[in-house]
Amino acid sequence: MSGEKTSLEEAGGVATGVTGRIGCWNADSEARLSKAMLEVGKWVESEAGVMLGHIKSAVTLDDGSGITLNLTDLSNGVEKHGELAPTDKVNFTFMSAVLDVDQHELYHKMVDAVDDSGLLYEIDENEHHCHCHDHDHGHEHHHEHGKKPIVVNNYYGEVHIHHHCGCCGKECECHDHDECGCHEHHHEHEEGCGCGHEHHHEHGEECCCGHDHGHEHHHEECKCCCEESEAAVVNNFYGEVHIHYYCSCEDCECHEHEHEECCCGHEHHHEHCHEHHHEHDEGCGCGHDHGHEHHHHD
Amino acid sequence: MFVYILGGFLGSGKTTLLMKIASMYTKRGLKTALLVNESGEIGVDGATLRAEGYDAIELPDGCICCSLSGTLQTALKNIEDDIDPDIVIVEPTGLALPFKVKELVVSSGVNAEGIYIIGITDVERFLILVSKKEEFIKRQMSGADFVLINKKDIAKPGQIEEIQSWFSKEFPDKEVFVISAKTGENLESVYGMMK
Repeated sequence: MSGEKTSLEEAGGVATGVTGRIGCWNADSEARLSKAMLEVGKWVESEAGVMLGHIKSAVTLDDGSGITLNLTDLSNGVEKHGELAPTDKVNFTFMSAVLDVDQHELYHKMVDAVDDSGLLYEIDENEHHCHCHDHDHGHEHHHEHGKKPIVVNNYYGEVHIHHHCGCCGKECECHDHDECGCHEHHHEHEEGCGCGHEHHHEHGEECCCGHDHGHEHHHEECKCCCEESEAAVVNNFYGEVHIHYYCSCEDCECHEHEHEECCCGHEHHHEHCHEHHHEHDEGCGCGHDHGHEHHHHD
Repeated sequence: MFVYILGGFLGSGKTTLLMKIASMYTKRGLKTALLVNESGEIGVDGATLRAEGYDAIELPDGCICCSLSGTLQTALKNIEDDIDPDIVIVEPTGLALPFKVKELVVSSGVNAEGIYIIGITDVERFLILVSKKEEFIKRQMSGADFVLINKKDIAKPGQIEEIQSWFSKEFPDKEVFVISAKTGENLESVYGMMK
């Protein structure tokens, strides 16, 4: 469309929705679904000032017969069209097309409203485009564990709420993301994962997420061979450009470490990228008392 | 065949009107095809129509006036080839610009004897909508051959007059009808405007 705005963009509108199935459909279920729609409507009103648009649901049998619920005005409530007798399982669609709200937040509110409604529901996976993973989210990912799959895959950003990674499908296995190879994680390494969970990487163990992070992890409890040093700082290695923080002196050129290994037992991947510049017998410039001798080749 | 495009904002009553018009034509013994478009991936209007006993062709996940323009033209050609209806009623999304849909119908190559846009608004929210999105509403109504002010049955005193006044000012040449698609009130006037 050569950059021309779509009518949706021109109007400032968004449209999103979910499909799935509801078990034990009866009048109570209908009331619960209507309530979920009203909850979404109230949220839209709180966000946009007024709900301009509509929130609709269709509840149907496999032959297409069923009812539709329509909310266009909060004061009028949800309008029902058609009749549907109580039945074991029905198909449902739940969609909103409204103005002046964030689409991801709207989707989140819709799923939450259904989840909070008490309906016996399941939402189709892979229903939505998983377009969130091409972006640099700049936010932490918060996996809610133990909920239904559609909730498990929620990603909560600073503002954006992404619920729709259908690529994993199954319940999140904590940090085993192997099934979901679709995205990069953008955690700043210094701050650690923001999910609130403890990560249990044993030292020397690869991250279970299946991604090549291109760096060493921060050793939290590991003590470098120099026991009194701050290992978490000492052992930071970022990508190919290794940054070592533990020497601030500048002029020493008296020795190289060659291929020495640290005595701590971990593979630190010291390449030939650095030199230590200590004058012999001079202390390290990092300010710490390392309490050991450095490995002088010479 | 004749093509009718129902243009109006979300929730203005397009689907309800579509069903009434389809029933009217069916009763007259005319073969009628319904083409329903929704901007979301998830279509509900098609389900609504099926639940009410109508069979419609659905074009979800985009807008036929822009992102699904090619799909619309292909669908129209298929409808003409496969169904060869007397009447095609097109319900675009509530965020579509009907004049663009009309242009696409014209350029689709279907053999349409006439293409008409019916503009539809609802009494309850129209003035709020105009206060927030007036330019868009003007564009949406601009191509209408005539306009319906819907939901007369729930109008509050003064609302209808205020909307009529807005249309008189903005579109003085357009004929305006006050109806209730839900109750059927004054729909005969609308049918009288149609082929």
